[in-house]
Amino acid sequence: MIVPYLILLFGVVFMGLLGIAALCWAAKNGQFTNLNQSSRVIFDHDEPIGKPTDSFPEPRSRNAMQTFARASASAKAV
Amino acid sequence: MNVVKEVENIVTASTSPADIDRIERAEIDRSTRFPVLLFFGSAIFWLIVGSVLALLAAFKMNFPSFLDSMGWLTFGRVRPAHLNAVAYGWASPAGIGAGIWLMARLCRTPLLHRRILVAAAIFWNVGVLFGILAILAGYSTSIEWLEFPGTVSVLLFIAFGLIGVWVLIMFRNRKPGHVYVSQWYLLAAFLCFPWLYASANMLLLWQPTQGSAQGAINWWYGHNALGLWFTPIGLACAYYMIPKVIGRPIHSYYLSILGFWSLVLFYSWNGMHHLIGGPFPAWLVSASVVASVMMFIPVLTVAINHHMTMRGHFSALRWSPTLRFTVFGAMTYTLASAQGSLMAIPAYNRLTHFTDVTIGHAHLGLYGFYTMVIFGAMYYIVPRLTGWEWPSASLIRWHFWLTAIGIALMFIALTIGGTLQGFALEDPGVNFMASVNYAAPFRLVRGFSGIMLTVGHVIFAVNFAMILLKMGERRGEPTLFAPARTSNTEAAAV
Repeated sequence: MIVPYLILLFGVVFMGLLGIAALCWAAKNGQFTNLNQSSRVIFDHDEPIGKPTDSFPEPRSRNAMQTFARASASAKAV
Repeated sequence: MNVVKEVENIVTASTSPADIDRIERAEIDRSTRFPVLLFFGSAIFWLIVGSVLALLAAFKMNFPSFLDSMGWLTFGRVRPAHLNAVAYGWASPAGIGAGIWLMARLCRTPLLHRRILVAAAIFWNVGVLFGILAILAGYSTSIEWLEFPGTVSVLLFIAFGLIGVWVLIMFRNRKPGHVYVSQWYLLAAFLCFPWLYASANMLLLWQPTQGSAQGAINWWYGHNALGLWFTPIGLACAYYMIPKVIGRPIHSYYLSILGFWSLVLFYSWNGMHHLIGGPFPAWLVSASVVASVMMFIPVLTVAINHHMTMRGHFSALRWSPTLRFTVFGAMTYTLASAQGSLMAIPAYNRLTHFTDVTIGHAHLGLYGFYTMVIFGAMYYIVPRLTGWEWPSASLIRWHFWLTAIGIALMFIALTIGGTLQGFALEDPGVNFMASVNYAAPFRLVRGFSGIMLTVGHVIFAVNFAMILLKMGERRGEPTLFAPARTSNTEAAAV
């Protein structure tokens, strides 16, 4: 009966330490530096910032999307 | 496969940086195809089953004799069968599917060890099938959130464990670079939950503790299933989809990191606020109430971030199905979490705890936030796996409006009905039956909103089956290979 409790106690301590270790690793690894650059990792040359990547599957709304893209581009230019 | 051919054509044609990125992304997406669609497909099946069970349970509240002649359709079995079908049958596998795809994309690595995931999906679905049948046959453990018998939960634990191992393998093999905030959320979810699930099962089913300690463990598990499993997966999707769809980085990446770490720190303490007034040490409950109120920090970071990222881009909701569902979910997350923090305050808790307000809150969180975000993610992911666009835009619109209005109606009805019920229960001069009667008409409205949701799910399932079978007209090229669809620069050039 005592064995499961020991396993659980070990689990609680282990998960807590794992969390702290992850935080320390992230800090050491430079994950918290240069945050503005980091937020851009989900974009690439093919899907750069400024390019919408989803639309309703029909010509009408695709046009709507283009209008939107054009509008935001011209807003930027202004 | 024409996808392969297309990739080859692109390779031979030119190799600009954009082409290289596109080919790499296509290869990663394609590698996740089978396991992700397997998880998504089975999730949608269980969503329909769970919705039907929910309708039965909902209408039994108003018409108790409805279908009561068969033991397996009585309220005491149908209601836990609903909870487990949607939590373990729908929400978890749907989130795992989205998590697999996100993990592969964010690690920038094609999926490794596909067999682990396929085995996990099989264990998972066999487990859920036997679990639901066991509950309907009367073998429920009667522990909320863990109604599956102990033998069945072993199957689910194996599946959880396999997926956890897979996530670690993928993370180790990631391409060097920054670990995006969505990845942090996914790592937390996929590594915490197997441990959480095993611990709770061990203490409640395999080697049960005695007395009121069971209640504490029950709600430690029950709330962490929401806080450290569903919530991080939902937020991981939202943090990827919103910036990606509108093509704009997260407003404040600093806040997103702060939000993640504060969520990990505070959320795991929240469970004991379910036990306010129960036979538990006061410090246990107080600490939990404090942590519940502290949840305002991670919630506000997410709310500010998502709102500020969307600012000036709200018109995008018109043209993107993914964004519609995701933003609806993200807004509901703020609402549900703020309400949750308030409900943990003892004075408020006393009024609402044993009323329909709690049911409304649970649905706002797990449906209004999580399920809607997952729907949004599915609308983005599936065309990229099948190489085929969603066959019908109007089905997507019906799906959105039925589910969005349905869940809003359900929440409002249950909150008003539950509050009236709570005041009636508080008043010693009012008899118990009166409190039931106050809530009754609102429960009827809830049943109606349930029909709306169910119809929405059937519509979604039809659209999903159609995209798998590649029905409908071929709309130019699939989303993934759409020839550089009007980026800003091109539009400006035009």
